Amino acid sequence: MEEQPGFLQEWFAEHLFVPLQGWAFWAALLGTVVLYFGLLVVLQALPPALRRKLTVALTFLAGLIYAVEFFWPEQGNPLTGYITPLGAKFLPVMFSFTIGLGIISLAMVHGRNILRRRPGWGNSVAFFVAMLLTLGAGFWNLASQRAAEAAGASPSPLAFPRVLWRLCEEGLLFALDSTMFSVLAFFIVSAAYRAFRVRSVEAGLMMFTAFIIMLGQVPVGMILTSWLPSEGPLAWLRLERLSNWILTGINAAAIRAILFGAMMGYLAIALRTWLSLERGAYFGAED
Amino acid sequence: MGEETRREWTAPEGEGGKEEALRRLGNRALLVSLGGFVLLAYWLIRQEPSAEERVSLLVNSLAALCTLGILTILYGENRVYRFFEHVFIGVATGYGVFITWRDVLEGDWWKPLAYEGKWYWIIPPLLALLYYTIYIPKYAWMSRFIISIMFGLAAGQAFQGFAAEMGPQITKSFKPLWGPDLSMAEVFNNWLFMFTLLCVMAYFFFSFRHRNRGVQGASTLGRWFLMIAFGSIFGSTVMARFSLFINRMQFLLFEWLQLHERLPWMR
Amino acid sequence: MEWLVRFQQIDRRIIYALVILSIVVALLWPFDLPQPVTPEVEKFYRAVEEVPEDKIVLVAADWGAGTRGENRPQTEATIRHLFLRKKKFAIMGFDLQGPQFAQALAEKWAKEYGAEYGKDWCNWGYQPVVDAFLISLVQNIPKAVPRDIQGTPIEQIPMMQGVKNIYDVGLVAEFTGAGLLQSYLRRLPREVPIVQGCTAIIGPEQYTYLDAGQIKGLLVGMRGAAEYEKLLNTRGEGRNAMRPQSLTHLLMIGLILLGNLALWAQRRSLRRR
Repeated sequence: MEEQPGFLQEWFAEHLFVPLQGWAFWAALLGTVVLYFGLLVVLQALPPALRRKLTVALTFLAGLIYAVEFFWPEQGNPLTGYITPLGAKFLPVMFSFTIGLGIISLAMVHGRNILRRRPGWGNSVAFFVAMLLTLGAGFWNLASQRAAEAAGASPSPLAFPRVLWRLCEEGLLFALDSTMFSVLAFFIVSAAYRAFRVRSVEAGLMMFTAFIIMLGQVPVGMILTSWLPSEGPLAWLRLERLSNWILTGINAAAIRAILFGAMMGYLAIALRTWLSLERGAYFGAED
Repeated sequence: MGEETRREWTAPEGEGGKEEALRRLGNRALLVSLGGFVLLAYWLIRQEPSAEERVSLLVNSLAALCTLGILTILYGENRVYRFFEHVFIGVATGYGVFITWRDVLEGDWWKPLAYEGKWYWIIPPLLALLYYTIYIPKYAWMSRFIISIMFGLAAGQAFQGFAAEMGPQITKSFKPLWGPDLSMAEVFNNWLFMFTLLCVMAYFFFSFRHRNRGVQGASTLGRWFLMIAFGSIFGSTVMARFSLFINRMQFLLFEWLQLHERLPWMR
Repeated sequence: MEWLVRFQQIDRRIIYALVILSIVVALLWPFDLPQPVTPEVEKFYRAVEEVPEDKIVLVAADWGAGTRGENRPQTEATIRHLFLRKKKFAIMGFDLQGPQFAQALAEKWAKEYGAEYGKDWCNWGYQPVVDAFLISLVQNIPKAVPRDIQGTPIEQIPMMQGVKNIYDVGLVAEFTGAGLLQSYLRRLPREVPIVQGCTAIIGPEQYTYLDAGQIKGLLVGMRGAAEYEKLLNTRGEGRNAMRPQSLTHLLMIGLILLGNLALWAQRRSLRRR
């Protein structure tokens, strides 16, 4: 499958998006920034109705890239050449810069806690200390590793930056992350014990199926029905086979039916979003 | 988190002394536990022969402390859990920023821009700046502008997504209901599969009233089949939740305390 | 029968203690349990065995510490299988932590199987955008992944010579705790076989893709890892965890039955009054 350049892609690569050095580089860089902010001024000056029309137009054009890629055969599609640089380089870099949104929100919440000395403000201090410590440890370790490699040596596992990074990554992050999720085991037991009451035929059916699946997944289930023959019509009643039969049969069919509905909804919402027909708290907001 | 874990004990009127006594007892218990933990960790680390293994055990000891700190939530809402929860958020945030820089931005953005003269790489962060206008009410509409474009990109991918995901699902739903090469079990399973699929789909038809008795019956059966599916999901979820905690216990017992080497029947 | 009614309200801390006790007892008491193998795990095993010699395997470690308990033994068993059969593989992930975990697993087992980074496996690292990246990967792998996790240009990695696009990938082995399989199914061509190792929470939802032939094999949760280890004749985290899983499942069933018995006893005593 030979990759064809997109429409004007070669021209852009040879005449516009060309690496520059020295004053030309800085001129191009500053020029882009000035142009960008100039565009922002122009956009801000637009009346709300025109802003909406521009948003609708650009939304449609953005969706067109991938929509055309699907409907138009690869040979001759003028946009195919842009797919790889867009998806593999441009979008990952752009989205990576949005991590700051989360940091700003967290900093605002915890910063306010500290400034107003709300109950538990010490925990907010712990948040900032942990964040800065991890960031510092990460960059310090990276710099130390690269310095060692540049000097022709392999990075020492006992170097302080490496140990500090391990303490943050393995000692703190991985342990806290895993344990946070693991406490759910207790809540599911407690919740199932308190709330799983058979008050109807459907609930009974659900409970019965759950028991078969639970026992069929663990070796104990195999032991409980090991007295049944492994061949013949009764073999089907062995818990491990019964549970697999339910999962691959009734369960798969029911999930597929749900999936059909969900996918129709996905396509419908995608079309409405692409054509800017969607209305709601976000889409219809006044500019 | 369940509501019950958030309930804090409050002293009935006239019993402020009891609350104060309980708090002091709690603080003492915390200090004693922490002291005991530090002594245990010190003893474990001292047992290791090499410096590398001691460092590994130090890291594991910190991980064990964090594990136990989070697990205190099982007794009830407490300061230790809240502290470790905030530390987790902080560490996760710092880690996210560092990995994003190291694995994405440094190689794909900074090096081309700063060292290869590719000035046009200033464009992605400039566009990403539009997201940040959400913090300035006068310019907040620009964040919707960029978000709409990203929605458009994702929406354009829906056609391929739908065809690629649903195509095989639809074609494979037409199972052979009879054939000389099929065993009785396969015939039965195929009939059951298609019957289940049609009944569950009938249950989800909300566009018209289910007046026809056949449709009503199919819808009821569909609900029963859905209960079987939900029972399967519940049964499977139980194993998933326990897996995570079993993994934590494996860490505490074997990687930290190394009981598989210390207990005679496990050696 | 009235004494049964009080079992409707066992203190949750007693339940938690029972759970911890059953897990600790099962982990410290190494009794043997049989391990059945389900057809979907056998298909997973066969899919790895049938990868052509001139193609690579893509090990997509789309998981983090939160689902480590299930996805790590699955990934570990798969990596061991790939080393055993000398199949070259590339690690990548849409989760920040996944590629690091998979790298650590590969480094742990590389010594035993005499494997070398760059020749037998490599690591493409974390990728932040899912669908758009996969679409790019289909067309041109060197452009989509210009360097590996250590910053080495991809064309300098020996095993990546001749790997141009997705058709040079003989198998995609995706491990996840989230619903990322759908993205792979939507973006990769049908000629590229996909197998999945998923957490047990989403496991039942993946059987419909197995039935449609969109995935060639499936490992569900810790059980899937245990079965895979059985096929590889090894004993890892998966198989060791089946003992505590068995006890806790029995405890769970016992508690649910007890709660329902207590409810029945309560209704009976109310009817009598």
